[in-house]
Amino acid sequence: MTANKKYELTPEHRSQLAPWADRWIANAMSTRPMDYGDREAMRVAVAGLYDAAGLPQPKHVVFVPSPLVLAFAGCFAAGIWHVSRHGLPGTTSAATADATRDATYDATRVATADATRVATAAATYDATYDATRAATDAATHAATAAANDYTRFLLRCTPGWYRMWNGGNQYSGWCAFLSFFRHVAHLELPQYERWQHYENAAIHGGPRIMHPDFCMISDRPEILTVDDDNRPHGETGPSHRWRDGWELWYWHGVRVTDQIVMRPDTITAAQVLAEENAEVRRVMVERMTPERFLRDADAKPVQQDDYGRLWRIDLPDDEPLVMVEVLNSTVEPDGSTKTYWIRVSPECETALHAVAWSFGQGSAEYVLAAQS
Amino acid sequence: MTMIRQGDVLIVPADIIPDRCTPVPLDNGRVVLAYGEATGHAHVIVHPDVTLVSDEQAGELRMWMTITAPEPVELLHDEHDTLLIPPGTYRVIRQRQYTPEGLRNVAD
Repeated sequence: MTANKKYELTPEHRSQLAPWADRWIANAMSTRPMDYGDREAMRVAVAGLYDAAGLPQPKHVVFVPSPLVLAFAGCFAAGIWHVSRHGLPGTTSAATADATRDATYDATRVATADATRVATAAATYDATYDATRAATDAATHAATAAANDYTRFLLRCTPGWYRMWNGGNQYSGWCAFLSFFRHVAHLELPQYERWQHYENAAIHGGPRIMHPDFCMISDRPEILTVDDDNRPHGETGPSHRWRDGWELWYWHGVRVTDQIVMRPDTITAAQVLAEENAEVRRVMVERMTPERFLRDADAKPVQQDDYGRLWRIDLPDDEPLVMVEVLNSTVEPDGSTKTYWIRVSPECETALHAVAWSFGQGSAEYVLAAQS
Repeated sequence: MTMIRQGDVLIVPADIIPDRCTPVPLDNGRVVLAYGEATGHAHVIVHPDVTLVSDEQAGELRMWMTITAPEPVELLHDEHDTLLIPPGTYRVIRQRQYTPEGLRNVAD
């Protein structure tokens, strides 16, 4: 790998790693609305990206208020183009430059790309990605049944949004890494002529869809709040809101509902027991307090061992509900430990039996060499 | 048996992998053992010498993993400590929960 080495990290450049990462973290977390200057800069960057990819210019460059609108409008537009042509709608990946891959790569990447990614990915890219997937899947599943063929086709295109997706400012991690060599190390690489457009598009716009016929770009959110570990989190309102009103509710990195954040006193034990997601269930119990959950559910302790505590809830006209209460093995950064509630077979008699059962193992087989 | 557990994923040494398995595609170059639905965090290995295959029987998705790297590989998750998995063949088991209608994977 040393044969192509073009650069070695100097102490002077090393001292720039943290400030460079901070600058890109701020870019990823920005809640500034895209203004006229941003839109003009995006038009130039988009033109440069299509050129770099060797593609004709897109017929339309469209600005939309949120990633949700981007997913629907972008996929509908892609579907309409496809129908009008009966050809497959191709997608383009933007041009990126792979500058240096040697020892410098790791040191710099960890300090810029990884630092930026770790600090921002949960709140920006991960959160939006999951929420967009949930929203498009749910809406399209519900709507396709009632739609006519053409509309149904467009709705079916929608869950494919990720295939045309670029995170824009949400992909600041890679931009922090690659741009470090351009702006701090001052490498002069021919690839930068093309790369600069990718970098500018990450500075001046949110997520975008790049299609041979059009490019559609989302605005940044107007609210984006995180906890001390940079997980999306809002205690007095949504963690994310875009200017068209699309909002996401997160509690320490777990996507929840506004009820769980704002009205925890109204959460019922029945709601907890009906919730299928273990993380959401954990947050619900935490928000309503475990004491109230166990009391409202009329849960009775059955047994306790090193693996957890077994609870039984007798339900009228139904088989009993047996849950094992377990502690997470990894301790949280603040020293606390998450508690999970897993429903198990009513035949489980001990917490060990219940945990082993949940992985399809017998109590005697369940011996861990390592756990986190 | 030396099982390794990271959250809702259990890795159990296996003798053989059934012939009918099909490869599980990489996700952005990553081997993803399980996705987190509410958190966006996945159980991930980034290593070229790891392959993941799956087989669906009676609606149940079962997964096996082969690690041919000379050294143990890292199993990563944003909210769990990193674990080292030695070379070998494994069953990858998702934690499941009971519902009166049947078993269901523990989603997180």
